[in-house]
Formats: sequence, structure tokens, C-alpha cells
Amino acid sequence: MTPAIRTQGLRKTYAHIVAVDGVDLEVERGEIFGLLGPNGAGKTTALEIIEGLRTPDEGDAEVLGQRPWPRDRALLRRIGVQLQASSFFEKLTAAEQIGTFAEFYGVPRADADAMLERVGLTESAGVETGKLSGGQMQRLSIGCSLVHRPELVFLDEPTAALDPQARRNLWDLARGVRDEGATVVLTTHSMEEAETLCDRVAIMDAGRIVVTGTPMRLVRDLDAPVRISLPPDAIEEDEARALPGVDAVETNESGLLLRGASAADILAGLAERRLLNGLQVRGATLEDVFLHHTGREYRA
Amino acid sequence: MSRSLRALFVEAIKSTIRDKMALFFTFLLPLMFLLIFGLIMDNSSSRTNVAVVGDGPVARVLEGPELKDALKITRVGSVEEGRKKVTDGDVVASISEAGGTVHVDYAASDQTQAAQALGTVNGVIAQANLRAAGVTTPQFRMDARQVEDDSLGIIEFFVPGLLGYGISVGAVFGLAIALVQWRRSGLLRRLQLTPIATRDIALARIALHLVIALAQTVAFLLVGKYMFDVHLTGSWWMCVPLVLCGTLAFLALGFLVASFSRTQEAASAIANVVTLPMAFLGGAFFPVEMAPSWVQAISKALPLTYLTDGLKDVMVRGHGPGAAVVPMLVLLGTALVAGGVALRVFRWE
Ligand SMILES: Nc1ncnc2c1ncn2[C@@H]1O[C@H](COP(=O)(O)OP(=O)(O)OP(=O)(O)O)[C@@H](O)[C@H]1O
Ligand SMILES: [Mg+2]
Repeated sequence: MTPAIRTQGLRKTYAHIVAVDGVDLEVERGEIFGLLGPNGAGKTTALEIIEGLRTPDEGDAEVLGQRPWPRDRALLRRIGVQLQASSFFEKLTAAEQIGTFAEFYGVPRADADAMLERVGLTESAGVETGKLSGGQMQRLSIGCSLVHRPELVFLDEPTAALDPQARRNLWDLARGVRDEGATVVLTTHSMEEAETLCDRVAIMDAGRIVVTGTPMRLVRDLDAPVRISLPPDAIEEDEARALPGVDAVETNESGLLLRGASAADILAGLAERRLLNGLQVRGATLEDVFLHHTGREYRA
Repeated sequence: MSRSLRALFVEAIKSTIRDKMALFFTFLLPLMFLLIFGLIMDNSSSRTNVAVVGDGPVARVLEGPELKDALKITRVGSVEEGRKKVTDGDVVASISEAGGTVHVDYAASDQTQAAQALGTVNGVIAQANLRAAGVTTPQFRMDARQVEDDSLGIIEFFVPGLLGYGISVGAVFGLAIALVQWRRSGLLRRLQLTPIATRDIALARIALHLVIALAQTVAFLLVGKYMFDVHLTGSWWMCVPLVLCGTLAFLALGFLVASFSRTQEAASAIANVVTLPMAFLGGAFFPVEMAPSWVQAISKALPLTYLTDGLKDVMVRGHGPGAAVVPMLVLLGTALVAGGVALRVFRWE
């Protein structure tokens, strides 16, 4: 089976900005694939090229084995899209909205109602779309993209306007969709979200894909130091520096931060001194991966 | 009809019904114009108001079918009551019978109308006399034939004129605003990502506006007929295909307006610039025949002129169905040309 998405050297230039600068991607079927990066990295532009909404200046793409442009209605039946900015038939209620989208795909009304339930909008079914809250609109938009059970769904910052509870519900929804066999491609600013939700991620910066892989793998490959933080006054800075395995010590308002290559060595030393209370161990995160590959701090 | 097309059509109808502003401008405002113009200027009614007391033989003839186009009769209970109606100015004459004498109290203020009433009564009496004298074949007969001329009574002018105006406003504003709003909200892009045919988006909107135009036509016909007693002539039903062709022409103009507008404010301003002068010069608000010749020349270039003129011909001037053919062709031509240009200029985002 062909991969869900394969792109080669996608490029798109606007006036003075190269929005997408040679993007090669391959997304497998049945995975949750995250495209992450800071504002203006080119995530939306890349997705919209792949969806067939924009044509690239250079490069090629294949979606479910078809080329996405020019507009191919047979292919569009098989994919679902939530755009970064929601847009609706404003005078329709939430239920009518998703019902209208269901009609576009020839899907029964009951499926539309079920999807409304799945995105938690049953109570707002009769509310005019223009009067929904930002998060509710976003959920409705996601519902509309999934109502026909597409093989491949694109979600552009699906959790941007969601509260923590709704965000967790969306993660469950995305996993559910994947477990039913579909492929999910999403963008996010949250490295944390990417780590918990995505099977594989691609980090994007300034129009380029910086690195691709599973979150675990990317972090491990970094070979980054562990960070252990201690409450203030637990131990003198000099004493901490002398502990086995500690390479660096920093003092900040919340206490001491120790860095070292091996968590085991440092923790053994701290255990001997009965200093394990209130201690936190942090391994490297995708933010460190971003820092490592771009030389810049990641600021979402 | 595909399911997508039906869904889009249902959406269009629901959105229109829920948009109070659009309903006001397409339905209520043109009808209000008709009511206001009609009520203010309705002094041209060809029927003369008279009061009739009792129900003698003359009264019965006056009320008969032959005179129903000439007289508007109010029944009153007594001679005094009738005279009061005359002094109040409600009727021009009050007619009562006593034995062989017919009394007429008529208003001094409106000589023409009073003369009309007197003449009518006189005619009735003369005929009754002849019959009483046993004359069955009178020596002299009058054979009067009405000749339709193209100048119209006030309300006969305004019903087709304002109907044309209402159609143009409904289609130009309705389509232009909806398209610009869809483009700005990103809905047009979103729809491109669904498998619906672009053609269906267009067809749903066209169907919506044809339905609106038919509803406007029915409203105008009902108000014209039952409130103002407009006398519709033989091929008035040709107003239906005319209105449909007009709607297509104005939809194309609305599409063109949307192609040149980035914001809703711009769309509404441009739509005004298109529809208002067209209404003034296109025979919707006053007869262009009375305007200077250069105005008439401009008027000939406006699609609304062809719609209002065609409507007047078939609805009130008594022309045959053929009179609608040229206007319909011009309107369809406009639809094709304007629609074709708009298709080239229109941007989805
Ligand atoms: N239609 C356009 N015209 C001009 N420039 C554009 C257009 N669309 C995007 N850009 C530019 O391309 C770059 C990439 O934008 P894009 O929206 O793809 O970024 P993004 O990664 O999705 O950002 P965000 O996280 O803020 O959504 C930006 O610098 C943006 O200004
Ligand atoms: Mg974006």
C-alpha cells in the first residue's frame, strides 16, 4: 500500500518569503503524524499544498496514491480537513452545519449526530454557529472534517482554542480515529502535545523540515543531559558540584538544578545523603531537540 | 438533483429566512415603496366614488356589472347620510331615487369627477326612459372603444416598475454580499476541500434567487390587485419568465460586484452604485419617456429598463406575450456577458 502522504521538494514562495522550502515528507497509513514548529514555520502552507488547496512553485506530492492538485473530487471524498481558521455557513445551527457536511459526502444524518456527540456538542446542537464559543467552533470544525470517516484527516492546530479537558477529549478522539485505521496529520505548537499524542513528528522551522522521527527516538538520539532539580537549601552548591556524575549546577529561585549524563549516578549520591525528598528528574524533551537542531530556544 | 445541491439549496433558503436584514431589503422595502407611492399618489383611480341611497331600479343599474369599472359605490342609509359623505369629500356624488325622480347631490370641488358621475347617471336614466317608451331598437347608438395607450396610471406604473427594482436589489445585493462573506470567512476555501461540484454552489444560489423573485412577484401581484385594484391585462402571466430572466441578469451583476469587492462594505457600496442609478434611469421610479433624450439613451443601456418595460407591456399595457421576447433576450444576454466576465475575474480567496 502506498504511504498516506509522500512529498518531494515542495517549495512555495510569497513575495519575499519562502514559506515552504523544500519539504520532503512521508506519512505512513494508520499513524498520528505531528508537524510542529513556531509561528510562521510554514506548517499551514505545507498542509494546504498537500490538501490540494494551494499549488506549490516546485515539488510534487502524492496523497493516498493520488496527486492532490488540480482539485480531485474523488480524492476529496477520502480525506477530511480542519483548516486553521474555522469557517461555516453562519446562519445554520451546529447540528445543521455538520448535517450539511454529511450531505456533501452522502453520509446518513445519524452519523452527523453521532459525530456531534463525539466532539461534545450535543448540548449546543440548536445554537447558531456564529454564536458558539471559540472552542466550540473549533470542535464543530473538527467534527465536520471527520463526519464521513475519512481515510486521512488533516487537523491544523486542532487544540489551539481548547480548554485542558477538551484538549484531552480531542486526543482521545484522534487516537480513536487512528485505531479505526485512519491516518491523522496534525500541526501543533505544543511539544508536549506532540510527545504525548503523536506516533511520529516532523519539526519544521523557516520552511524546512529540521528532523523527523518518533518523539522518543528524537529525544534519545539527542544524548542530552538529565536535569535534576532540588528544593532550595537542600544542599550547598559546592557540595552538589562534587557529587558523582554532576557536570553543572545552577541556582535559581526554585532551588538547585543539577545536570549530568547519567541520572543513576547522581541519584545514588543524593540517596546516600537522604536528599530525595522534593526532587524532580527531567529528561530531554522535544524542546531540547528543537534547540539542538536550530540553535534557538523553542518559544511556542 | 444531487444530495449536495439539495443540501446547499436548503442552506440557502434557511440562511435567507434567518437573515432579517436581507428579508427587509428584498421584500418589505420594495413593497413599502409601492404602498407609499401608491397611497400618496393614488388620485388617478379611474373609478368615481359615489354614494347610493336605497335600492330602486336606477341604483340597481348603477351597481350592475357594466358600470363596475366606472363607479365605486358606497351604500348609505339615508339622503342625509349621503349628502354628508359629499360634504366630507368621501364621495363626489350621492344618488337617491324617489318615484320617477333621481336626486343627485354632487360636490362643487371636483367638477370633472362630478360631471363623470352626472353623465353616468344621465345615461342610465336615458336608457330607462327609452325602455319605458317601448323603444327596443334606438335610432342612435354609441360604439365606444377603449384604446390602450402607453402612458400609465400611477399604480399601473409602479407595480411593474418597483417589482423590477425589488428583483434587481434582491439579486445584486443578495449574491454579492453572500459571496464576499463566504470568501472572507474562508468558507469558499473550505468548500473546495469537500467533494461538492462548484457548479452545485452556483446552482443552489441561482435556485434560491429564482424562488425569491417568484415570491416577490406574487407579493406584488397580490398587493397590486387587492390593495390598489390594478387592472392586469391579457398576457400578464408573461411577467413570470421575464422576472426569471431578469433575476439571472442581476445575479450576474451581483457576481461581478463580488468579484470586485474585497469587503462586505465595499460590496454593499458598489451594489448601491449599480442598483440605485439603474432604478432611477431604468423606469422603476419614474417614466423615462418624459426625461431628456440623453437620459433615455443611458436608460437603453441598462438591463433594468428592459425588465420594467417588458413588465409594463405585458402586465398593464395590454401588449401580447410577444412583447416580452426582446426584453428576455436582452436580459439573458446580460446574464451571459456579465457572468462570463465575473467568472474570469472572481477570486476564491
Ligand atoms: N497567502 C500568503 N501570502 C503571503 N504570505 C503568506 C501567505 N500564507 C503564508 N504566508 C507566509 O508564509 C509563512 C508561513 O506561514 P504558515 O501559515 O504556513 O505558518 P505556520 O507554521 O502555519 O504558522 P502558525 O503556527 O502561526 O500557524 C509566514 O511567514 C506567512 O507570513
Ligand atoms: Mg498555521
